[in-house]
Amino acid sequence: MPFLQLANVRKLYPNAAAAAVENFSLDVEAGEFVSLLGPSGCGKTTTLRMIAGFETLTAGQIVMDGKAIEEMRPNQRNIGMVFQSYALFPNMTVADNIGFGLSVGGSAKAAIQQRVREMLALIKLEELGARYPYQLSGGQQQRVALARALAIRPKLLLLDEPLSALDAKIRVALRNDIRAIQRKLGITTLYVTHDQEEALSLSDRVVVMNHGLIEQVGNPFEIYNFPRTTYVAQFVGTLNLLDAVVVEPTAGSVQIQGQPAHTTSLAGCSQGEQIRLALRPELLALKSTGQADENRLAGVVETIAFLGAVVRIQVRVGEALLALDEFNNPQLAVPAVGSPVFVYFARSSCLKLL
Amino acid sequence: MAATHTPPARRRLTWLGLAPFFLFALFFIFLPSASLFVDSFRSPEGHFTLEHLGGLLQPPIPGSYALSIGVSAFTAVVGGLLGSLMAYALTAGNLPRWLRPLTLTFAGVASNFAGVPLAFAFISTLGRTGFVTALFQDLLGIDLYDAGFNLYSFLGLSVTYLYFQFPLMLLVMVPAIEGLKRSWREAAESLGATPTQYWMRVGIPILLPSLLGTVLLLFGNAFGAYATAYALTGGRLNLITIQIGAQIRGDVLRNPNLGYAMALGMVAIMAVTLLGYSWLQRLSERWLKDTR
Repeated sequence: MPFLQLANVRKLYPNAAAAAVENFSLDVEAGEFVSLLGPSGCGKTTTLRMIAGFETLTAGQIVMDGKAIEEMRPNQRNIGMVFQSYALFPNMTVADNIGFGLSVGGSAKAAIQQRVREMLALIKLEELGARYPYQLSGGQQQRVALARALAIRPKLLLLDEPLSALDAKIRVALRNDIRAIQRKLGITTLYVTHDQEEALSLSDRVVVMNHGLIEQVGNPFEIYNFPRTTYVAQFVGTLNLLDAVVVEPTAGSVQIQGQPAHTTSLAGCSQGEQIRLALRPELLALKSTGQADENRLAGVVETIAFLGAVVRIQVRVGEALLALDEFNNPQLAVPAVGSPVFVYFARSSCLKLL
Repeated sequence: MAATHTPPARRRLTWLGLAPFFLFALFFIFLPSASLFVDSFRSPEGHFTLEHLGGLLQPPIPGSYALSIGVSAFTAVVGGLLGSLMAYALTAGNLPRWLRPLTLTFAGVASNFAGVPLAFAFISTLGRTGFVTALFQDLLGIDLYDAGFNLYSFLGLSVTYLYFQFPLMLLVMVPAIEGLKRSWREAAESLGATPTQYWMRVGIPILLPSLLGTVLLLFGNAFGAYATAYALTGGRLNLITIQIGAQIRGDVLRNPNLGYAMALGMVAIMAVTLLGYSWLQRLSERWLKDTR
């Protein structure tokens, strides 16, 4: 049985035209790290807040460790939560913040002090126990918030966009720390983010949400390489979307901007059907010749952008604009803007979207 | 980051904009205070003397200070309590939305309604033949004055002062309570705290500097009041402000220099009050600095 089960969860706010979360069902195994990914307003934070007990359910059920928890008060659920805004108590020192949960739970002073020391060591801030939150940087404050949530030995850890208020460098360092700590403690974790890179790099599984609904659940590899819908494909990573016409479904042949191509994903399509294909920029290549089974589209270079490690080249193919990425290196032969080129890609890299 | 450079001419114009404030402060705060200080140490003949400061220890002046401090402290604490409870009810009490602007507008007006008009308003309502006194008598059969209430007493004056004290507390505490972040309460709850534990260990301690600071502000507000008390009690209560008025105006008593020394004593008490207020405000700001 899964450790956490959400079954047909629905949230409709009073006077709202549409539900914030609709028919949300998800099973999370013990020790798993699952991210809820989506843009603002997609219902990911509402889902997290329903699990924490800060929002009531309009319908559905939440079961944790075999017990239905949707009727429990937040302080009875034993769920640790880390907020985007840190939410450290400004009137308490770091040590008092970390020990707060144990203190209100009636633990002995010595036990609290011991646990606070353990937590400070875990977040590598042993020397800062006597400081107040205003004396810490944003990254340090969020570490303390994580330690405070973990100090009570929660059954489940919820993180609500914990890194979005931090600058890029600290964000990357802290997300690696969060994952390392989660693995070390083996705690079941639900992580809310709108940052696809964060979700893909941290998670065992990613739940992509849109307008309160689950669009796709899968591991990062599946979500990135095999997006099921246009929405997922567009939201996760950069994507080329191409309109195509099915020529021969059994042979997988299509026409893209009047040029012949092949794909391996035409199951259920009929001849003459208008479909939409997705192509990742890194799966395209500019070459003079390719292999016989590769697709080839003729086009003209429209723009070239240096993005550091990657060079992004945009090629006009008929009315469509294809973006492709080449790894930057000093020997890279970058074509001139306006020059005619051939774009090659494997048949299997061309996905038909729902 | 490079510092923003403001041309000197523009900077001079900025200072010019502040000139009215500085002129006002110079003529109505600094010069009178300096004159007060100097005159407190000057005899009627113009010589230096400590006699007036010594006079502060002579009856009835210590009693007047005590009475003023008593009335101010009482109305500050009661007004602070009432104002805080009202502010809590208004911000977290799920009251109808229209009540909030209505109450705050009333509080804005009431907190500035003082002096002779306030005194006469209370005389006509809670005086011996006042409207409310008559209502109690006619509807409930209670004679407030027989029951021990007297508008012209410590209690009566305090009730009158509370009319402007608790609305001031309300005005200051509403934004302070609204400044309590929802995520603090939720973090406390997720860590296992009950609502009482949250208030006792997080909510009230965070509000405490603002709360105590505003109580000090109320204390200062009542301590300096003169016209309300004079119009209401006509000198029956020897508040320090009434004593100063008597010494300077000189209807019966006249020793302006003693009056200046008494005023200097008031300035000292007000300075301590304001320092306390300022310290508490700084503490509150420091706690909330850079904490999201």
